[in-house]
Amino acid sequence: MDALIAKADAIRPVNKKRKTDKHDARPKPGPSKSSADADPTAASVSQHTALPRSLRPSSPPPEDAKKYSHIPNKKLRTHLTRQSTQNARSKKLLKDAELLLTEEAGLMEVEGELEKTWRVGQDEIATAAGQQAAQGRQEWKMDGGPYRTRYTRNGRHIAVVGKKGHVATFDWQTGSLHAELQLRETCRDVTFLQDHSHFAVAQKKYVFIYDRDGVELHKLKSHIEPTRLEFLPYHWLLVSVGNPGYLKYQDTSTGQLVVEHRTKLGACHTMCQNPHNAVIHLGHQNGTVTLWTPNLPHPAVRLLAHLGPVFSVSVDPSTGGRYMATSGQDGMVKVWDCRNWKGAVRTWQARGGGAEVEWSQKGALAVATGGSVNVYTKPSIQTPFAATVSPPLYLTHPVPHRPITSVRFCPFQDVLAIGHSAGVSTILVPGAGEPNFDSSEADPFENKKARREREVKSLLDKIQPDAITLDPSFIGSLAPPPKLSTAVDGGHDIPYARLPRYERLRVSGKADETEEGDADASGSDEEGEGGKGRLSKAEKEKKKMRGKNKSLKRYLRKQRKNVIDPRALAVRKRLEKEKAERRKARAIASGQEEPHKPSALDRFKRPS
Amino acid sequence: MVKINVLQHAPSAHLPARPGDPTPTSRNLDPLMHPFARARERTRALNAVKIERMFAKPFVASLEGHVDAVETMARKPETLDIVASGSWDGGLIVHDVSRRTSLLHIEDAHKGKVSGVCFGQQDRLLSCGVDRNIKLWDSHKGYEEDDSGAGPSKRKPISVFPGKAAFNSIDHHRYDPLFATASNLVQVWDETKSAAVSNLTIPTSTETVTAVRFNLAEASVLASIGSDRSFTLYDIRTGKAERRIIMQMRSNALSWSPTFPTTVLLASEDHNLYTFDIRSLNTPTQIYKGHVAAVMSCDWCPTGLEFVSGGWDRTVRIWKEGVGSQPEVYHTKRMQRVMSTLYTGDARFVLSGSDDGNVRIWKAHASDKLGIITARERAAIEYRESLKARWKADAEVNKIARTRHLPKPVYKAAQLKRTMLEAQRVKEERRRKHTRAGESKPKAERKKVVIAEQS
Repeated sequence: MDALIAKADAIRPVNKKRKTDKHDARPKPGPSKSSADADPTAASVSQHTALPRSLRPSSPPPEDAKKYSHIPNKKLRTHLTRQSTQNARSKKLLKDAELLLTEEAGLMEVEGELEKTWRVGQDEIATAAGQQAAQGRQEWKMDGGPYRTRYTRNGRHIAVVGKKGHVATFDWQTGSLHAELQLRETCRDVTFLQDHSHFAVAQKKYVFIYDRDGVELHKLKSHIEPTRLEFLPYHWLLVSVGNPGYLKYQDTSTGQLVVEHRTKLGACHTMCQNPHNAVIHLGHQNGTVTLWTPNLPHPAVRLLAHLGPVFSVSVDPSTGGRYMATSGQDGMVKVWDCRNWKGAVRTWQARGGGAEVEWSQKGALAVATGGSVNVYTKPSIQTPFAATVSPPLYLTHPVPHRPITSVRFCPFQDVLAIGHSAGVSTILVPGAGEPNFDSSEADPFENKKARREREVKSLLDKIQPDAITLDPSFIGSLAPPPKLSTAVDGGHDIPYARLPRYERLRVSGKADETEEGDADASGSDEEGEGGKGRLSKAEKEKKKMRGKNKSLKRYLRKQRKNVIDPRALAVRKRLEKEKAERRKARAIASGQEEPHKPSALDRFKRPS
Repeated sequence: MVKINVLQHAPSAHLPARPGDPTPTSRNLDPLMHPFARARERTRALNAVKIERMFAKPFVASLEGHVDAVETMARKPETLDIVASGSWDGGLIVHDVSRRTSLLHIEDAHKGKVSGVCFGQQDRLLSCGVDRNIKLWDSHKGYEEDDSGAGPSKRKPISVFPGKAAFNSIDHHRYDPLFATASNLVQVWDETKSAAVSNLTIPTSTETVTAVRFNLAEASVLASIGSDRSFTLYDIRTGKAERRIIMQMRSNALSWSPTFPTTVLLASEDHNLYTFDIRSLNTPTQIYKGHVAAVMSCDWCPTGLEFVSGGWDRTVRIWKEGVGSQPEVYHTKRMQRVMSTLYTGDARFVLSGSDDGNVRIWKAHASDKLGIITARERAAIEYRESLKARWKADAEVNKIARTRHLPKPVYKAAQLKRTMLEAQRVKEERRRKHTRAGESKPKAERKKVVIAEQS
């Protein structure tokens, strides 16, 4: 016993200290006793125990980690310190991650002031590019009407669809064709689903889903006369909008029609998705652009963007969906800031009517109007500029076949696919594509096994459709503080649910406090009749309480006057103070009163 | 002169060099390349916690053999899976937990119930009963017939130590051939002597001692609990009671922490468990609330990070050290009042002995996988654990992790208990509100536990 106690400084008589402890426990100055300050029991234990190697910190804690020495609770302090150390460590390690970015982005630079990048033609770029990159310049001549295109997320495969029903999907780098269909009816749009193994086509009446070999898998009868399709890859939602003006979300993993929204804005021919929050942007005939999420029956944002019909909408992926470009039938191209919808950031007139717009991964904006495709680059199109002149041109390419119906940048490549009436041509846009892909998200070089694995993993990680909001970071952030607080003057904050019913009503502003007010009013009446009573005499007479049990009420009122509830008093005092402050502020604002000037004598003032 | 550089990926860098090679992967940690990272991680956390609940099948096996309720169990020191159990019918069984067989079965070791068992040195087994005898057995021989040819059921003890009163508990010294018993007093015995070596009493008390336990680190320190709501510390070298506290309610079981020598765990009649640091006995270091009836038994995990308790409410609960609420709950339809609980030596399994005469084996962590785990599987399990820890503040994740199905009587009892405590609290608050300010101050829950401290 003594050994345990003496070692541990353990059992002491209740009232007095042990003699043996005395010289032991007293702290002595000097460096040799530094270990005695710590808990002796812990010290005795630590000699025989050791932290496993895997749990030992690999490096000393970084200096800039925040210390929480002001927090008295030991457990919380340790927890917070550990967290901040971990954060500081991982931040340091993040710098090392730049070593992983091995590939270099494309670019086109001029030396002199007089030289212009837009004077450089495709032939020149193709000759300057490497052999592999030069493959990106292609002309596919097809006769199926104006064509629309779509790349897979890894940029390896392309689907083209002609107005007259010609659908083809192929690996554009190796040139191997997956499927070619002649559907013999109007086809308006195409989109790949999770990868190139499935694609959906918006046909004359319904949406059809085909597999890689072109076998029809599903006819989605609930999507009527679709005009545009989008696929939200992380939510596994196929979104369609059509001539009836209904926006429909279909879950492609379960097959359920998740939700359909009636836009009430007529036939819709323009749709795009924001890849960072999965919000659907629709452009309408009356010039409005609306932003939709599955959980709201009305648009999250409604914006009057153009005076005529909206022709094309696109969202910038390089800034996390912060900028949106729209173009109208009137030929105006506008760039909007999605955080602040007060007018466009930049507006210009594109010659030749409605323009197709599309942002690339690195933030180049392609605008296809009339007979040419113009590409603009980043800082100039996103800086506010009052005049309606077009930003400096980066690259231009004439297309002789009108109309140009789609422009799509290829992910992870400097390639732009232009769909027009005579087929599809792809051009090289140096600096448009992201050079470093992440194999866990989208890999152009993945094999069959990796593709299957990714499909399963992404199905497991499928996000529920109701998690789509304008601000995707709300998941995992702190809940907003409750609006109802019951704390009075920093006193004990009783939870709302535990308050008695009357208090609960009072705090939420629903309590019927007229009687109390009555009592007050009658008191003030006696002081000054008609002084500043807001009700006229007739009104007051009209509202006066009449009834049988008046005497009881009077009795109760008197009773109530006797009760002095410190909480109620404090609340009343606080309310009065706030009222006085508000009145004063109003008086200052209207110029009736001078604002209080701070003076040196204020320090002697009693705090009120 | 225009400088033109068009992006191109070298296939040699991204494709395997030879057919059998793994495909090279590339990484880009730019958050723009990973949209919805948080939402996806939350989904993964949600799946992880659902998987945990789906695989939570803690019951492993039941060891039969006793005719009546299992009163006491003891693990053989320095083994993982040899466990002795004693029952109300006077039977004594030594189980091999991993093989689920009984190594030794003595059908009437005592007349009346076996109230305590413990292992001594060299495969010896000590048992005490309400028949006022302590018997020392040799557990090594198993079922081999001994010289008398009496057969396994008529096994004779090596020696019998007669006492004056019915015994309640027994515990062996860590390395000396000494053991302590609890009856109406605490006695220390030597294995080689037929009478008690010393009697440890505290002068002012006339109690019945219900349990004794030796400290594991400082082997001469002995703790006991008694029916007069006391917890007493003795030193067998001085032969004196050193410290004693009287608590609000009596304790039913006690257990010393295997890793922290000054920590002791008490299972109390008031539905709670308490850990005390014996250096300051005036307040418990932590109250563990969860049982809805008296806690009948408790035992520490060999790692000292968890402990198990069994209660009158027919549940077994597994607690984390220092976390006073929301324990893991185990129950089955047929398990009755749990009178004894035990951890196995590898901390992977928990044993419970209950009124229905069965010793049940449970997993210590309900969703653990038994059998071989590959490295990839281990990595996935660890990732899921970290996800659960990271997202535990999320309401939905937390709800799934927290919710347990309880038998209806336990659920109702918990509900009733909550209502009663709430009513008590409200009444107390109102009483305080209507007395003069400052007259009665609220008392912390921890300060209410110990009534008196003596030394």
